[in-house]
Amino acid sequence: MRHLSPGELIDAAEGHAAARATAHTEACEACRRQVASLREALAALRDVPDDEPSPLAWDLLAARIGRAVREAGAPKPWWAAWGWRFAPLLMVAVLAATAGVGVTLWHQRAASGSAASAGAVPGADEALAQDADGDERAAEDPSWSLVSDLSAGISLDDAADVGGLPPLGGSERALWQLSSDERRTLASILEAELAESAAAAPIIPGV
Amino acid sequence: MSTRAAACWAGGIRPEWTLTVAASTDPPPPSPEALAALGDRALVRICLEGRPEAFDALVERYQRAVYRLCRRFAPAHEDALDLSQEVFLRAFKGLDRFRGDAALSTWLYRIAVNVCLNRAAARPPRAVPLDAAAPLAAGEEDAAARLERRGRRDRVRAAIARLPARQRATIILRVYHELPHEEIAAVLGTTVGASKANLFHALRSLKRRLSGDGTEGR
Repeated sequence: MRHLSPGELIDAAEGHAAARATAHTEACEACRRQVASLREALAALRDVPDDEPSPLAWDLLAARIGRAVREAGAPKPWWAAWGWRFAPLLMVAVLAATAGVGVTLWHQRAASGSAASAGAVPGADEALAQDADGDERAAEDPSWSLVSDLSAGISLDDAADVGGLPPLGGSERALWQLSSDERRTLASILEAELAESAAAAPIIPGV
Repeated sequence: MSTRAAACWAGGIRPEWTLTVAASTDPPPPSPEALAALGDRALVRICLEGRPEAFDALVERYQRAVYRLCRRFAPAHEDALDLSQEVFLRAFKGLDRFRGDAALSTWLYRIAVNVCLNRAAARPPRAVPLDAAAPLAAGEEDAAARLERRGRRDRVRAAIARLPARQRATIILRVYHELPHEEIAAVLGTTVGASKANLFHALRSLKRRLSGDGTEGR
C-alpha cells in the first residue's frame, strides 16, 4: 500500500483530497494521523492574528510611497538603466569593434595596393586568408581582453535586477565570430560598395 | 513639398504658408476616482505615460496586502513600512517590465517576497519586546489575555523566521494570504507540487518547534 505523498497529505489537510487519498486515509492510520497533525498546525498558525496597524497608517504609507516614487522620477525603460550602468563598458566595446573593423579594412586595402602594384588583381579569398584565425586573434586582442576583464566583475544578479541580460556588445562580438564564408561574403559586399562609390564619386567636386 | 510650392520657390516667390493652430485635444488628467475605477493594466499603462498619480491608485489598491505580507516577514511595524515602501519603489522603477501575463498582485507579491527574503538574509531576526506593537488594554484580564496572545504570536513569528526561505514564503502566502498553490508557484517561480511539499515540510518543522508552548494541540 502506497502512503500519501506530501502534496496529497496537504490536499487532505486543506480539505480537498482526491478520492484515492480519502479512501486511503480511511484505511491507513499513519496517514490519518499525519493529516490530523497538519490540520492542527494549520489551525494553530491561523489562530495568530495579523498585526493590524492604525487606520491612519494607510494614508501615511501611501503618502510616503508617493513621495518616494516622485523623488525617483518617471519609470525608465530597462535598457536605459542598464545602459547608464554599463556605459563605460559599452563605449570600450564599441571602440574595440570600430578599431577591429578599421584594422581589417586597412589590411584589405594594403593587400589590394601591393597586389595592384605587382599587376595582379587581389581576390577576396587572398585578403581574407589572413583572417582565417580571427577568433584566436580576437582572444589575443588587448582591447577585447579589456572588455572581458571589465565585464568579469559584473554580477549577473545586478544585471538581472535591472531587467535581464541583453546581449552586451552582441553585434560587435558577432563581427569577430563570423565564419570564413561569412567574412568572405562581407568582404565582397564591402568591395562592391567601395568600387561603386569610387566610380560614382566625381573627380572634381561640383562638376 | 508640393509641386506648386516647389514652382514658387524656383520662381523666387515665397509660397504662402497656412499655419493652423489647433486647440490641444489632450484629455484632462483623470481624477483619483476615475483612476480607482480602472483595471491594473490600464493604470500601469497610464503610469508609463508619465502620470505617477496612476501609480498612487495602484498603491492604494495593494498597500494593505503588501504591508501585511511584509509584516509577516518583518519583526516590527516600522520594518514592515520600510519594506512596503521598497516593494512599491522597485515595482515603480521596473513597471515597464511588468509583462501582464500574470496578475499585478502576483508580480507585486514576487517583488515583496524577494525584498523581504533579501532583507531577512542581510539582517537576522531580532527579538521584539512584547509591548512594541500596541498599548495594553485597560482591564487587567484583557491585558493578561492580550499578553498571552502576543506571546504566542511572537513565538509563532520567531519559529516561522527560522524556516528555510522558500518554506517561510510558502507558509506566509498560503496560510496568511490564502493564495492558491498555483499562484504561490508563480510568485516563487516553482511548481504546484513543490509549493505543497514546501508547505508540508514547513508545517512539520513548525509543529516540532512550537510543541509545548500552547499554540497547538487545541
